[in-house]
Amino acid sequence: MQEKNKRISDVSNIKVQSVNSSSVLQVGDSYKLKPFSRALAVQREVAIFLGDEGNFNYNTFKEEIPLPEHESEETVKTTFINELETIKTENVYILSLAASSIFHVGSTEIIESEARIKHFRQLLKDDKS
Amino acid sequence: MNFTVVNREIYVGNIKVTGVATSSVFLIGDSEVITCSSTFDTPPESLVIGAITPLPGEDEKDADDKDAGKE
Repeated sequence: MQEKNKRISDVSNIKVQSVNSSSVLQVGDSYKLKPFSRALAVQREVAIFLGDEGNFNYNTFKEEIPLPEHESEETVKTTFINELETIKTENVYILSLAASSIFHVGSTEIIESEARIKHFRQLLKDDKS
Repeated sequence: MNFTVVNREIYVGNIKVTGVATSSVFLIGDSEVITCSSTFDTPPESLVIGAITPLPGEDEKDADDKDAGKE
């Protein structure tokens, strides 16, 4: 049964090459999606990567992310009139879904995504110019 | 205040997306609340020139001290 004020999504073809790091590909309705990912992005001139290095003990992964606040004095009463019950799409092609991202076909109530990335770059010499 | 949205026909042929980036949403449908947040830190001290050294391991507690310029 279709919920009030939510339309039906009709997609003929979907092709997604890559879904990674806490990303979501959701087909169908959902209530709440809350993906969360943390990453240390290390770029090295010499490709040496040990499996057990690094930690998340940085401010990037601890600090609170501020959200914009709205302080409206009057309440807004919103009404949706859906003249057509469907959102029609033929073909969707997506190369990749990155950390904590969402591709959602269908209706949802709440999405709260969060991603935290800290970069490191390690080069050998400074005389590359 | 009253706010009325009238959704008429939506018919899309082809959508080609190279990348849905970090903490973002590609939605075909309706939604109530969407909150996307992300932090992305590339401080100058993240660039290290010299010997390639491993990142501090899981047990090291002084990561914040090295994270200079923050707080």
